[in-house]
Amino acid sequence: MAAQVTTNQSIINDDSGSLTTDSEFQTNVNSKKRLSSSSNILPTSSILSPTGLTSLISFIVLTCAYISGFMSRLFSVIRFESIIHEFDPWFNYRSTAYMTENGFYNFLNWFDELAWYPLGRIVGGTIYPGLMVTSGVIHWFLHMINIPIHIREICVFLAPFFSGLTALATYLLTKELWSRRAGLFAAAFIAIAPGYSSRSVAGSYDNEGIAIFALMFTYFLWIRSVKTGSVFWSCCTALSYFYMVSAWGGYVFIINLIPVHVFILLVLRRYSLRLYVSYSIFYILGLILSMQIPFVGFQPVRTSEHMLAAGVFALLQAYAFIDYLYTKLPRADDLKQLFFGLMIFIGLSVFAVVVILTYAGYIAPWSGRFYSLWDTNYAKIHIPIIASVSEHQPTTWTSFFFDLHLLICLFPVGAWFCIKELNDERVFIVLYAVFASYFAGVMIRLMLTLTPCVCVLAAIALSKTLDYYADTETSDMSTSPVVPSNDNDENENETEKNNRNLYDKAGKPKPIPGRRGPTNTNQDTDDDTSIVSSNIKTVVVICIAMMLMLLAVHCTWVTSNAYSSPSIVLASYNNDGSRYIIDDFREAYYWLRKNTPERARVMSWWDYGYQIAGMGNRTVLVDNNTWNNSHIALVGKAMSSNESEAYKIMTMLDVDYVLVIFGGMIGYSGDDINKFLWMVRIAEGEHPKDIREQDYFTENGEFRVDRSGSPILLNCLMYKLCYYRFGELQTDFRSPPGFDRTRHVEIGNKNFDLQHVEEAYTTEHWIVRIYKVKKLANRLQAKNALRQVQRRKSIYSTSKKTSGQARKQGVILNKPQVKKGTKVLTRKT
Amino acid sequence: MKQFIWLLCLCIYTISNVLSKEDILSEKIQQLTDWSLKKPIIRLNSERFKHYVKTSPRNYSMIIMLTALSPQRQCSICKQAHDEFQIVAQSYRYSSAFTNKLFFGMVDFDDGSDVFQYLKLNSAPVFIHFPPRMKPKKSDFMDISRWGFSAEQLAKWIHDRADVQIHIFRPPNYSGFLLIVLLVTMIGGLLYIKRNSLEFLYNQVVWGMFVVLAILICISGQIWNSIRGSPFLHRNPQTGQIGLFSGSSGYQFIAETYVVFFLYILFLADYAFFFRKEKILI
Repeated sequence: MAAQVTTNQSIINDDSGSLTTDSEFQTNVNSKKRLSSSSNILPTSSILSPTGLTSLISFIVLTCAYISGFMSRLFSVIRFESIIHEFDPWFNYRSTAYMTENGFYNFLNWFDELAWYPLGRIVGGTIYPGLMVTSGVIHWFLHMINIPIHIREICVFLAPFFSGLTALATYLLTKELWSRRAGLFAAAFIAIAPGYSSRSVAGSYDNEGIAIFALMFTYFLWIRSVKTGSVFWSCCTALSYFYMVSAWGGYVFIINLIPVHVFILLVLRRYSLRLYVSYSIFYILGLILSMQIPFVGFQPVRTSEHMLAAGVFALLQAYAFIDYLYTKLPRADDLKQLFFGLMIFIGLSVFAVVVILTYAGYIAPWSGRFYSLWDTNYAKIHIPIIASVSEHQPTTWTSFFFDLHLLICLFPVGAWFCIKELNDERVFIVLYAVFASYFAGVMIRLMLTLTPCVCVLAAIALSKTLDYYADTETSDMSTSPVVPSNDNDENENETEKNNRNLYDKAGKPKPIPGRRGPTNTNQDTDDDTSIVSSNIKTVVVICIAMMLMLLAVHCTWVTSNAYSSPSIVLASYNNDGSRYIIDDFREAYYWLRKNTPERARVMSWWDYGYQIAGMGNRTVLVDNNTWNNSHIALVGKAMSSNESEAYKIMTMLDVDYVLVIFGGMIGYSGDDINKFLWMVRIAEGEHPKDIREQDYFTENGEFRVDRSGSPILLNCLMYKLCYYRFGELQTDFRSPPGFDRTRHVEIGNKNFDLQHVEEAYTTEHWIVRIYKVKKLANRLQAKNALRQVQRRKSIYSTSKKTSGQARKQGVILNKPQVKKGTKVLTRKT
Repeated sequence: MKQFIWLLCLCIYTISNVLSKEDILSEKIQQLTDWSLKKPIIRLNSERFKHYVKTSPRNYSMIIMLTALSPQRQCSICKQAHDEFQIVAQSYRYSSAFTNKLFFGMVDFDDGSDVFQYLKLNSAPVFIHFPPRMKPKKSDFMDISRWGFSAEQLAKWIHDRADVQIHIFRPPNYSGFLLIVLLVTMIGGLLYIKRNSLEFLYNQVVWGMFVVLAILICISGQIWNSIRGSPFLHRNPQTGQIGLFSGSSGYQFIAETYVVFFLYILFLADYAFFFRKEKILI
């Protein structure tokens, strides 16, 4: 793999002609330097020659990174079984299975009537199909070479497979940015970093699993194309970008970061024809390709999120034109200020045009999800459904450290080194670091995009440190794969200071032979210090190695303990350490699948929609694709109103079964009662007259389910469904009957009956409770049930008597009848 | 016949009584409307409070803020609450929803301390809604500790209690705008003065510090602080011990983020200085 890459590198031709890449130079320089510093043998063609050796070492390290990345994500498969995790993966799995059965075009036209009853959902137009297509292609390929494998296995193992590829892509990116040694570190880091493995363990079959690979690969290709300015690499960038667009909504990050990079390069006066070629091609091709995805459609030309790319594109064209004029016009230097003013004017006018178009309504403003990244209070006020998701919360420093451990400390150091030795591509990684760390701070979920960047920069910092410390002439520190050389980085910095016109650094030959490593200089001046320092260096290297081992241990521990739970199968440990599996979810869904009519509609909170549809194969009202807020609010209203009010909503929505998650029996904290306030809030957002959050609190503003809880809470449907007959159950001899183990209280409302629903099924540990909604009852009987029924007289009856209601032939209906007046009483005056 | 005259007398009495009551009511409404047209918040003392709020012919609601604004009372949040209340009243006064069904009033402790006694209050500020024809119930006292007293929350509460929708219109905050203008002119002026030596703009170290600082601020959890607003420290009420670090994983104090921030900076500075020194050595 690595050897291939090196050959690729030397093949590249520069399109802009006069410019040569400095990477070739640099690698040559590096290898030569390595030769001279480690041993004084000239390169030979044998495998044991240093060039061959480094390639071999790179190859081995990358293979190890790939394998360890794959292996460290298999904890859940080994502990439980090969199963799809959590919520969203179930939908992805269901649609992948649909695609493999019915073909790609049917999949694009798929109208899913199991979701969002009675509305349904057009699946083909509302998803990013990249994930399904990827696993479908793998499935097709394996079947073509006669390996009959079930699609579920592919779905389960797709994310670990791609995280190995991410390690390779990160290696390539870091190699472009810094050096091959740093690249190996980066690959090793990203393979095990918990920030990434949290989203890509086996079984978590989600968009992010493949999207991070696409992200890193796109960035690598972009850096490559900026460095070379070749049409080939920028086309590759656009293609990789297309794959990213098809895979994940986070592609917006790419289409904003690359323009920012271009813009900053313009500001830093690092414009070059390479930049012009690569960005123009990338933008146009990327725009056209991204519009091929049905879900994206015309968004790239009509929404504000994509306007930065368009604006920078226009600006770059203008800049290129002015730059051209500048070179062609005689005495252009006199007009320098004019050009400068013109440039600023064009920049401002492009900005103004975008603003005007936004106000005129041609460009949609920022959507709520993106806007809430900038205005952090926006979602809390306006979109409770976004704020309610736990992964949209801001990030504490502990979670940064938990997810990245040592790397987060090295991260700013790497950024500092990159700034100190700036060039075109390092501007990019610095920008990436700034934006990604901001986004990760705002939303814990976006830690995912930060992690690769942290790995790259930490690898750079570590590699630079080891370049210095592992370079010992006296001791033979070959334990780490890093081969010592501390060469031209310093030189670059000096040349930068001398000459600011930087876009063609490699053109200048570097004073290689005059330079030796820092230790040699030391040796020249003072022999004693160098001996001591070499010892110190050995100690430092050992320390660093131990830290890295700790990092590996931490990463493995976190991945195994925190991120490998499938969350549909729970495990608890007894006192003697034996494991106890709680499999209530699948039990309930399987019951639904086998015992309910095929067309039955199940109402539950939206979290469980995908699972019910995926495992239970029944129609749900709302699911995790939260596109219709009012529908969700209606379900929330039904859950939070009292039974008769809820029954009206349920009959209106044709509900047959209601499913609630209740953890009070075994102490499972992620149940519906704990989520209940969000249901109330979302319902209040749409029906402020009927539901008030206030009413569900006690006088002191607490949310309690015990005797002091508010009566409205104790009588709402959700409470009743969760605690129906729970008051009769004594879970423990020390606690009273009806003791809720999650909230540690005795429940307040114990003996009640359900009027409009009846219990249909409760799982072993009571986690899932399913109720059947009764059909409309007979009309209520009148109070005196035994009254005499006055039978209507038949019209053919011979009786002469006519009653008011009786219809008789020839009788005028509602005929005014004259009543005889009563005698008026005489008034005494 | 005698009975009839009696009845007539009674009728006349009641009618005149009702009329006079009507008279009082319309006069009161007229007066209140005049006042609130002049000033959105009607300042009430104890007599006026008795007359316009307490005594019975009243078919309008009143939102009353009880407060203590005079400086010797040292109520700092009263001032903020008053400003917010002013914004609500102002928005109501100039909105289309303005009717003579709802008025905004205010009682200062120094003007009407017996009002406080009458309502059995010993804290300020308090917001009370007086519904038409009734005494305020428990829910008509706004719970500041839960709702806060920002204008939006006040408007929401009023909408809840009195069923009047008020769109909050805050007077645009010019101070921020002015600050930006000042900053821009200062930077522009600085650039203009030093236009011959713009070298400092290209100083990588300065820019690098900015960038690294931004990264450090993000990764040490300062964003969490600004969104959630946690306390600076935790002081144990019993022992008086100061807890710098919060025990739970999803929570943090401001102090601990600063500690982490400076640790990161130290780490970084070590690195930066070391590798600078090394360069000098070469």
